[in-house]
Amino acid sequence: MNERHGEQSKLSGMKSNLRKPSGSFLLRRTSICLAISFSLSGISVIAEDTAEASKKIDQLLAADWQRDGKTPDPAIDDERFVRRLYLDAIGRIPTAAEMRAFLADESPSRRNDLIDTLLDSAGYANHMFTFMADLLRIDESQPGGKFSTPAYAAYVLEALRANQPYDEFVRELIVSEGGAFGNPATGYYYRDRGMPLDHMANTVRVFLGTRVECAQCHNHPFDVWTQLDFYQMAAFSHDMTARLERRSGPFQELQRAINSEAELDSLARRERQTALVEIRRRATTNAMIERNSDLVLTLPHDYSYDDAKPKDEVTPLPLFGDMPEPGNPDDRLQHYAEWLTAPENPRFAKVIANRMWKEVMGAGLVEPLDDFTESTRASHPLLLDFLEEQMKRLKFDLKAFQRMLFNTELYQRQAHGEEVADGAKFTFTGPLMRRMSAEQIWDSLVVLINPQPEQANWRRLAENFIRYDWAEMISETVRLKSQTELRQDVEKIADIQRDHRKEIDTLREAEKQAARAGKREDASALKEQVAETRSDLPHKIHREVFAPALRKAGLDQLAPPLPHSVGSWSEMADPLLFDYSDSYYRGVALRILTEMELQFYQDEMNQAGLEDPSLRSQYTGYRKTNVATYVRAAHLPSPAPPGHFLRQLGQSDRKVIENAETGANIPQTLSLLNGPVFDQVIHPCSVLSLGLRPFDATEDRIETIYLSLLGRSPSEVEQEIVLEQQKARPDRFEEDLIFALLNSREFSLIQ
Amino acid sequence: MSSINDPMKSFLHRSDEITRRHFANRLAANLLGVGLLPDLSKSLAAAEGTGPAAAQPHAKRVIYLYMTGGMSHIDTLDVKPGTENQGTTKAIRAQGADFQLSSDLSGLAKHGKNLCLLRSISSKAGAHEQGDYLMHTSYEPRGTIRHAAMGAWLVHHRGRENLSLPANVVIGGGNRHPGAGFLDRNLAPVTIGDPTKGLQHVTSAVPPGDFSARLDLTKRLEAEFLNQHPRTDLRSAAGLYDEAVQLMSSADLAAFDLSQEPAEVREAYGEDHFGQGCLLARRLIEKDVRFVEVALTGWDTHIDNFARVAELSTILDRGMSQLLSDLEQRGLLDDTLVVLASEFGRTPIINRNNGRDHYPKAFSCAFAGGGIVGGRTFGKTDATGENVIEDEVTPADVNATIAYALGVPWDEEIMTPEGRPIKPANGGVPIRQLFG
Repeated sequence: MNERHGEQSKLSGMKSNLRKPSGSFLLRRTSICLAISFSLSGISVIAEDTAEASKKIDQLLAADWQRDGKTPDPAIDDERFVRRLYLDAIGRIPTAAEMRAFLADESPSRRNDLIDTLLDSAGYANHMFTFMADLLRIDESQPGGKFSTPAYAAYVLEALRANQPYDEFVRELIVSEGGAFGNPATGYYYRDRGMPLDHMANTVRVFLGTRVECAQCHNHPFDVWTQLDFYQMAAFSHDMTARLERRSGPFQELQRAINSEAELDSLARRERQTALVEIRRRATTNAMIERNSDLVLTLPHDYSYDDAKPKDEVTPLPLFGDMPEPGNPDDRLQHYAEWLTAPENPRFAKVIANRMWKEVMGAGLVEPLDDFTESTRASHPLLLDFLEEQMKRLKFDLKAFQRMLFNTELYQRQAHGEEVADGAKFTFTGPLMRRMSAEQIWDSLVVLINPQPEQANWRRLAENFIRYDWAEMISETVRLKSQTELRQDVEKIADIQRDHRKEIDTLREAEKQAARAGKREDASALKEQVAETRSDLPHKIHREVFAPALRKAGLDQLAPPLPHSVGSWSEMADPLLFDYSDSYYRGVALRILTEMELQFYQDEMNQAGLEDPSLRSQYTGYRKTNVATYVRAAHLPSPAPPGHFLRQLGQSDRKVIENAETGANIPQTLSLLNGPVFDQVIHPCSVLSLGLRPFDATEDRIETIYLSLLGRSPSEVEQEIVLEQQKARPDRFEEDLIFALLNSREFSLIQ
Repeated sequence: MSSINDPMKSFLHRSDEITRRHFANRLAANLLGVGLLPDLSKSLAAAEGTGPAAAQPHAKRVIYLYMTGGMSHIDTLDVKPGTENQGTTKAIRAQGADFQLSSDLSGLAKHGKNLCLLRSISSKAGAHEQGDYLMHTSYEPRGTIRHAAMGAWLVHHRGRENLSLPANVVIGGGNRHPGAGFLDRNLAPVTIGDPTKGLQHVTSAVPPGDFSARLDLTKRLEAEFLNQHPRTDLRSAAGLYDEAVQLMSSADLAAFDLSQEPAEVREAYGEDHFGQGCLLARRLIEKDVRFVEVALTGWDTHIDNFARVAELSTILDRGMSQLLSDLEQRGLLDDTLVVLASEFGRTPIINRNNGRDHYPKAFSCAFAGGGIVGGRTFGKTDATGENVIEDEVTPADVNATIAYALGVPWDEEIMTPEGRPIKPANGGVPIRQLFG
């Protein structure tokens, strides 16, 4: 008999969430990480209407140049195009092999083809994640963030990978309710928990490019927004509240039942209580977002305008335009989301079109990107109108929009390297030259080190899977049991524990006797057996109680495939193994994962045809050290911890919107000069070094180093300088060259 | 060599600054009828206008000791001996002062004459993140802006004294530190995780000959590129390499190296990170670094308050009292302001876990040096330690006081890039009574 109502529907809800592509968090992440190689969609011809749109952009600019008396910058060669496109489309530099492959391609459509290939590759989402994480301030270090943010980050990454239409993505964020497990989009509200007014100011700023935060406290001094406008807008979502839920409810009832059962003697009661702990510790914490309809938004006590009185109740009203009156108050979020993302909304499409233009071309047509006012005038109004139109025509498909921009002549012109004065109009005779983002620099270094740059660190992935999704599944299965079933489980666990104790006692007794009899070998064998038996206890409980429950619920089918099968998740993975407070379990789990990992490197070496025994012996160590460290920024915590190289390079701390920097500073410079990255780059097993192995001639090696780091061949002057260096330092000149190029300004520029 | 060993140099430093400012001010006053530092003088005049003339602020540097987690005021700086709320904490009299301290702060008790206790801070920020942020910036955290901590304000307004070392340093701080906020990123503190390891990556991994050969190659190879791209950002990035290399060879770099201290000195500060952090702070201050924050974590004593506070107090006491002794002995206490602060106090009523919970309604901090008159207290809580009954102040007032001591114009507005007006102490008012 099921004593808790309504739980069944929760499960079916959860299951469907887990199954659909936008569902559970690590399932999606896995599909990302396993998609290592570029999906080869064949030679695709750019869609005709997109090709026309690209041309139209060039025409609009040409008209503008003519009027301003400007001439366009010259077109770039293939070398420059490849490096720029890799950086702008997938956020990292190409390897020397990737460069050479492109340069050997003689097809007239090779540039189009590369655009398609890169946009369809795994690197695309890894790159776009920076853009979204900066906008949405995805911050794992926020209090309670570990319960919601990893799931939220994975959700965003997956939305980018699947190229979910931007308007749909935004609507999902806005209407999200429930727990972070099951509906990770709730991370959007969780990010501003306890700050509903700031939350609305952020929402309006990010999606409508409009600054209303001043109006939080007073009528906007330079714009049309009043304090009342702001409050009315904030009333749409002010009642979205966050709390952490430790899901232990049913167990308290069980505890009471055990305590009050008359026929149990004190030993049996103690045993059952101990057994219950095993069940209760599987209850996970979930970050919940719920609407609290009791919360009424009122104006501040010191409200000082005539249009309303202090402490007046506020009813929702959109900042501008119309919105149908929701018949049912529960539809309020839906209406608000639709209003926000509607094609008719005068800011929504325009703002994202302008943002994406800047991502690709280096400067916005309206700057700043998020301070649109009634009097805002774009530097190229017709162009911005056209881009907005295209954004709508493409149905907010950001990838298609980027494809259109990459295919313009403008994008394929020389970058504009001169400074543009503040407030001066940028004429877009070429894209604007700029320093790479922190993530682009880091990811470009990763490419020189890690042969699987687009892959997530799978060890972290497996750990996360076990700690979050798997634990969540077990938590859910346990929760769905009736009290009767749970009591049966308690008894079963109590039996297992009792038998286990007996077995240990017997073994120990035997060990003692062996020791007394002087049978040292027997004694030590028995001692080992004791240890083994002891370590098997959690597995035994898992096998006999939880694994069957998971199978019964059908949830174990949802686990991602293991990279190298050592059995199934339900057999090996007790989520408690990753309880960091328990170093013993963690040790066991890490051992299992390490075995899998070593196999993985063996395969990697075999695939790469690496035969040299001394390199093979170093390879595993090198990869093991780096696999968790030199992975793309999208697969590190968001943001990277303070002091991390990414942060020194200016990665946003994700405390405020778009807080990234591209300036230079001392710690960053010191890290490049003396930090650990350089040694990893020149290690004999690095991608760079392995890429140099086929080449013997000095000139070829120099060229490979230039291609690897700067994506071009050396000039004659440079070649001469390097050869001089070779004369002076024949054994070290290659390292010197790598050092010099890594530390050059050119390395970190998108030209 | 330190300025102690080179008194002439240090004197020249100081007199040079005084003369320059004096001269410029007088010149400006003569020509224009105004001071060259109008906002500062306005602030000072305003402060002086409402009370007895305060001495000119003259602190140049700050050591900010931050007790992360919420230091129990009633068990440290605001003891209530003989009351039920006091629990097992004992009080002792401070020397040369009219106040008592926890007996676990016996070293600080000996510095009674240097210490001024502020016992009447009150705020509404009862969560760590909010409290932390408020204490550091004087503002409530907002999702739309990041405010700056005092170290950044100090360097922003008064510049660097030592041009080869970073001016703003945080030792052992958590990742919530607001840093430079919206101010120039170059003002952000350089963070040192482990004080015994010092500044990272400041020495070359390769022999000097190799290093200079590589640098030389770097310059030769990119000379042409820089000529073709005459941009200030590229030039300044290239310039930073020179600065970094200069820092690598700076004679003052040794300030970051604690192994240069005698073993007995290191021991006297305590072997823990906080003690070593205090020692590092002293070494940096000796080299005219402007602002050093040292954090001691673990004060969130919801459970088992008394044992844990005693333990933490011992660590705090050893590091801070040794720091004060060293500063005093070196003649640095006069122009170095030492602040002991925390995000909030803890409930005077003991909870059922023998612990204390968050309590922003009444809490304390301590000042020493930098022109502060020691041996006294300011503000008062009632007999239970629960309510401020005299001279209530806010975290913003604490920051205004620090700013005032340093000659930072605490009420001067600066516009953020978004056009929002922000003040170093968010309208807080300096507690001038703390000064001579």
